[in-house]
Amino acid sequence: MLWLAREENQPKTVDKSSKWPNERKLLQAAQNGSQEAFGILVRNHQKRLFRFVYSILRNFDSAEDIVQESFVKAWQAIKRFRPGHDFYPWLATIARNLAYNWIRREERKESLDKLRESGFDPESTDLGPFEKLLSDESSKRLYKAVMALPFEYRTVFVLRQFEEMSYDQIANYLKIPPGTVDSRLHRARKLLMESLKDLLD
Amino acid sequence: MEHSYYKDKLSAYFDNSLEVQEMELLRRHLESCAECRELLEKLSSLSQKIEELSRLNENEYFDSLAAKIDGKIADSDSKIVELPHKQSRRFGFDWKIGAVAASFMLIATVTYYQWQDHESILEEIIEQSAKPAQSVEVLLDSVVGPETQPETAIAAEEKAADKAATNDIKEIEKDKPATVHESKVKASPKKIVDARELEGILKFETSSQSIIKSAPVLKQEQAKENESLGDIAQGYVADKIVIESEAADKSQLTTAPVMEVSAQATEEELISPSIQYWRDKRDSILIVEAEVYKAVSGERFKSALVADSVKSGFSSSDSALALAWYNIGLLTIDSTEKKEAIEFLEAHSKKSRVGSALIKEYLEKLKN
Repeated sequence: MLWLAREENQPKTVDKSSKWPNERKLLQAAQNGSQEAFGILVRNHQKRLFRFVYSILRNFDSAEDIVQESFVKAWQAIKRFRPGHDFYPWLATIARNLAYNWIRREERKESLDKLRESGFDPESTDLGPFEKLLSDESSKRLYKAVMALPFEYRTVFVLRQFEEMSYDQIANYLKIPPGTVDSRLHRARKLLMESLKDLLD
Repeated sequence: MEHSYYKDKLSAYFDNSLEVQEMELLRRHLESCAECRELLEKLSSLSQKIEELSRLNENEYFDSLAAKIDGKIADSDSKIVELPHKQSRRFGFDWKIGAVAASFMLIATVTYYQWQDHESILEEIIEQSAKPAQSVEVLLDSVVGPETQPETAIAAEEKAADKAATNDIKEIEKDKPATVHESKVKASPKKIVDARELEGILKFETSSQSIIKSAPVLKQEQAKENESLGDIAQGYVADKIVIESEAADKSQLTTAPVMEVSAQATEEELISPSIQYWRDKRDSILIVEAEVYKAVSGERFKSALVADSVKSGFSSSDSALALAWYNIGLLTIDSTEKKEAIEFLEAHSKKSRVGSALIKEYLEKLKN
């Protein structure tokens, strides 16, 4: 049973690096200037990165731009990547910063209300071109529900769910107290559970 | 405790993110509460379902995206080849000159403190100048260095700030500014500091090695009391250029700055047109300014500094500081920090004359 399995306080981590056994070699080659090796890294990680960036921004074109820019910046800084570490968290950090810069620019364009709208209505959320990346109706419903979350909840949820950041990391990154991370996440999950009820049964 | 309390904590329990004690309390509650057990199962299936359903397919789209990225990378590579390394280094070098000059100011001060035990420099000067051979002028020069020296520091810093203002992200990324260690700065200004400690006070994040290398040089030079500090500074800078160009190629291969993935600040600083950069810049300006002002008790210096800021209505470090605050205000996602930035700029828009137009412009942009 799940709640008994949690008894030993095992951290919930998924070793993504094992999915790409050659990642270390690829990184080494990329650090030595191999565009080809870096290209494989791009292909291995672009989907996950795109999912993350889009979930934060809710804007397809900007997500695409930021994914591209993140890889370019990662390439330019690849010599500064510390060997032995996982590539994705580093890449995601670049993307996160770029995504937040984008949000800041949007805020200045006074579309802040759009970003922060507080109503939760999974039915009316339009995924736009993002829909074409999803294979079935269930996936669409899931994304509509996630995108319908208020910005503050969605960010925390995405950082936890997709990026597997710890509460402390999220708190530190968003400059909010860990307790707030907890409560936002709790509410986000509650909303999602309600709107995805039938999928979960 | 109540059921509703535990219910609210389940999400954090699921993430293993509660304190050990609370984890244990919840675990016990779960043993006796079927509703919470059910909710926990739901949380788990939600998480699994999301992981499963959120995967993106559409390989065609991603094939073309990857191809676009390949193209951009090839492009960015050819640009890197076109841009000689020296050019991108220049900005960092200015910073180094600035910091080196600033450290010389401090060394000058330190020499002075080592040399005198009394409360005020003026008393000492009057005493010493009673000796017929030395004039006050000569004495002051030997104590705090020629007057041009602090200006060099400020000018270099200003130059760096101006460059920073161009917002060339690439350059900022490649060459990080000197950061001053706060802990050291809290030490009393009267304390006798030696060259080794100064290393700690003015330490380059990315080129600490070169500073450490140069430390013995500084010490030797410091011993030559009669030599002008300005000349030493020049000699040092010339030395540095040689070291730089010799080491440039090697350091590319062997001592490329390493990034710590776990350190949030370093990551931010490295990658984005970084807010951390501006925070560091602001802090280092404040610290160096405070140190220099405290340390330089010579009235002639102080009046020169004051005259400079009166003349322009705005001292160079003020404008650099305003620029740093402005950028912090722009970049921050924290509303309190933004407020701080606005407050700083508002306070200073009243204080300075010539700079106030610029500050008002900053303020306007920030408030929009």
